[in-house]
Amino acid sequence: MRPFAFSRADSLETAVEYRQAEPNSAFVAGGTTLLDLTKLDVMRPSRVIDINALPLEGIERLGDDRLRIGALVTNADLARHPAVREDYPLLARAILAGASTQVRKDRKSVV
Amino acid sequence: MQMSLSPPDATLTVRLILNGEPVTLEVPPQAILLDVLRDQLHLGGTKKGCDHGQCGACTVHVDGRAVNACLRLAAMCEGQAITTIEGLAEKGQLHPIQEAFLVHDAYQCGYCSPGQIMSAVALLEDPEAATDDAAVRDAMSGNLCRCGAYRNIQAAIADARRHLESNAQQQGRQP
Repeated sequence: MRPFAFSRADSLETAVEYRQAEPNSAFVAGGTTLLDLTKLDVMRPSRVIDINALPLEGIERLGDDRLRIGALVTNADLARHPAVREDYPLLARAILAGASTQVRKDRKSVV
Repeated sequence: MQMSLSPPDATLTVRLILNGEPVTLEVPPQAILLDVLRDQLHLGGTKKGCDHGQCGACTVHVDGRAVNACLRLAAMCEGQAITTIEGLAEKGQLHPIQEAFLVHDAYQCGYCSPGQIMSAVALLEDPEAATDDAAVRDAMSGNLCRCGAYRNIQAAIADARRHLESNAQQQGRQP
């Protein structure tokens, strides 16, 4: 594994500032993709910024039939959320059809 | 605002709870939890199978969730509670799933077994998980067994579930 530096962001502002200060840095939430690709030397971050302390775990129904999903919501938690089960059952099924229990429960930034 | 960004070769101090005990690690930033467990802490129970999150041999619990230790930085575990296979038995008493694995011969070479057991425990402790055979197979699908002990693993899980349910019922009856 190529060495890199590590920082833990304690606020959204800090996370953005760290990223801007070092353009070749990468955010880590669950790490299941980042570390997989870094081990293969496909991704080569100079610094990894841990965003797991940030307040990004909300799942919120918006007034216009949309859902706002925080970047730190795990795939498993999203799939079992009542709003997703009720209004977006295909999303829940798609999530549960992918990866594995360990990878779904781990924090994954949801795009 | 001053930012203290550590240079790449610095060592980080990481404090976590490991199998119930506080541990302080000194690790490089890119140290992977699996490697730290095996090479630095000499806990060889957690196995390195594929090293890329596909086989589940490295499954551990982090704050109660079953995750692949091969895809987690040690640095990310600051303040977290990690449970490895070594931490399952309490005071020498095997966990019901460990007993069930023995009774049902749920292993051959044993390499996948710690990961299978850690995933099984997480499944058994999940109040929202479905318990039918198909759901169990799906929940356990992140743990590969190249020796093919799957049927016995599934039987062991069903047995351990009955055991845990009967324990819970007995405790409910006590004053």
